[in-house]
Amino acid sequence: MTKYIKGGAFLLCLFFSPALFGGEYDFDMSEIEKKPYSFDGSIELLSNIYGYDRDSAFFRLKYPEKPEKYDYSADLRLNGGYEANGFRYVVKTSTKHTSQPDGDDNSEFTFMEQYAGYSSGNFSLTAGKMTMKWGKGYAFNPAAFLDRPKNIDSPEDAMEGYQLVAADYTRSFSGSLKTVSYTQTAYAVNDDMNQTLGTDNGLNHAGKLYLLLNDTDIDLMYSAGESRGRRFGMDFSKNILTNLEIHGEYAQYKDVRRQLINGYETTDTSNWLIGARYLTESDVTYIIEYFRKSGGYTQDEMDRFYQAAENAGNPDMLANSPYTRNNPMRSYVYLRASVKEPFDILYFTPALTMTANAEDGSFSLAPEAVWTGITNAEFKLKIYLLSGGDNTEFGEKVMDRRLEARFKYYF
Amino acid sequence: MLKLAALMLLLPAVVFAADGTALLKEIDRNLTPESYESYRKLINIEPNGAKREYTMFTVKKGLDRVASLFLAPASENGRSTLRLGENMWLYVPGVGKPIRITSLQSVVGGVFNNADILQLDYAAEYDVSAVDEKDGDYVLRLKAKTRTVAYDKLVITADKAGKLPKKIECMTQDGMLIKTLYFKEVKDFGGGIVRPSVIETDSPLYRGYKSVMIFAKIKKREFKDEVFTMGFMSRMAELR
Repeated sequence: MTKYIKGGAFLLCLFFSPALFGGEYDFDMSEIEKKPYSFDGSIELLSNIYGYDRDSAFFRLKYPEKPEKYDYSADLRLNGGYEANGFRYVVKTSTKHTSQPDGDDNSEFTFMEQYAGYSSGNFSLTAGKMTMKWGKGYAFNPAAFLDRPKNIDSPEDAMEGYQLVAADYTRSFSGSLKTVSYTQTAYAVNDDMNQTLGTDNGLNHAGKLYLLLNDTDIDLMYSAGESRGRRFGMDFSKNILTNLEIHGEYAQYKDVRRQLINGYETTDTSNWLIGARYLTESDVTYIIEYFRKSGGYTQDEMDRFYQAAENAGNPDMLANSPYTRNNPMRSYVYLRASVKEPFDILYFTPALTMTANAEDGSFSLAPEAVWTGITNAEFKLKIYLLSGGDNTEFGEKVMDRRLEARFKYYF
Repeated sequence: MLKLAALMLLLPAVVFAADGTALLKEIDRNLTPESYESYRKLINIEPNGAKREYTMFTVKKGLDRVASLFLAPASENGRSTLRLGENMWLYVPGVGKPIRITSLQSVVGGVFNNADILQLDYAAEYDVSAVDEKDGDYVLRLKAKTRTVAYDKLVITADKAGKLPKKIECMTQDGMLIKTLYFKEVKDFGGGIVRPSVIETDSPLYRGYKSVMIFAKIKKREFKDEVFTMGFMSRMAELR
């Protein structure tokens, strides 16, 4: 018996010996084994509780009947990929189910991206559904000619791509010009694809020249073709200090069709933004952006819209007009302050985000709290508080408050 | 005559600086080849002992090009960081485009900041202002070449025989200690690379916290310059 106890003790000692574990810290080599295929994803559970402003113009237009007080949704994101010998295939999907208390359920499956690519040295060619993400702005991207509009409430969310063919060539140099890269894309707009990239069916092309010059990112981009007016853009980004980054973006749009209350007009417009990201010694990160768009509606034009909403004979027409989209006017200020682990609360990041209409003085204030204390999990609670008088953008929104609870798990 | 006297007085300092620079370059080369690939695990250890781990694949070329790809945990998988001199970017697959980050930020939290994770050669960022000997070790005092370097001053205590760092103290311009890096567990990685396999760090600014970096599979490798560009950040996995 003693023999067996001694033998067991020896095996235990061997099992727990430092030699087997390679020292105080362990690095399991199986973690870094490479496979040609990959699979990952996330599941997100989201619930919203709404506080409606029943006297607002947007409420009258969008919710003539009794609105729901809350809803909840689940979004399963699955990503797969295969990569070998310069060839790669990527697929990213979203399966989203939304429920409302009256039983009005909705399920939707979307290929967020699906493309195949080949790269060799400095050159790469990609075809399929993908996002390009041009521009340097955090909340706004006037020069993102080939992307869907950002959700300003959650600018870092993954977006659905467009069907494109893209070729990319990159060269590096020593000296003040360190990198030059050119991307050329081609895409079609028709009844089956890319419908929101233009009004007329046809073939289109867009390109972007990137330079890393004097430690500054600089992009010059264009878009042209049969489906919409020509566009030109540029952006820059630079680290001024070890804790300060500045960026800017400018875009010019030719022949933009502007919808007004009594018809349409065609005009040239330009949008620009200037912004900065600053980290303080106390670990507060500020992001500030000023966004200006000449094609946005003036206060007079918005006043006419609010008047029309008051007397709406055809609410659907107004409800789906550009007047009711995010940021329809000309000047906006975006400010976000987030603090890393205040009061020594680990993995806790509170933040405050403000989006203000610089013309009418209305604004949205959104305090939030994010906790990531469990590996691969994220809990987020966010409250949107909208403030503004009559005939102001945020004063006339459907809701004047909203509570959002979000749980996300990555696998 | 006066000029000659002044020159003679200055000469030892100039020679000392030159020797110090050569010594610092030797320490850099003993730590890593000029161009290499490696795997690293970063562990943030909280005061209560709880840990969070990150696994990264890192490549470096020349004095000022370094890039890293996160492999684990799942919430970070596919993220990549790139440094070209003082320019730094972070690519997040969901966000889709690289954004500029600054050296004092930290993409992983804990005591390590971006400058620690995307470490360049010390000789690329610092001038040697003095070299002393203490208890059989070299003590190198370094001063940042520009204001954009994360730490204005470094004090490197290096083993005299192996010319490898044992401890690096990182300080502000006023001499305030920001953090201390401890180099431990010297290991033979093959290919003539013998260096500490573990770097621990603590900081008076993060009392009770500790961060650890463990190295594996460091090996010499040459890369094209274009690997170290923003356009390649989404394709870094191709290098593994």
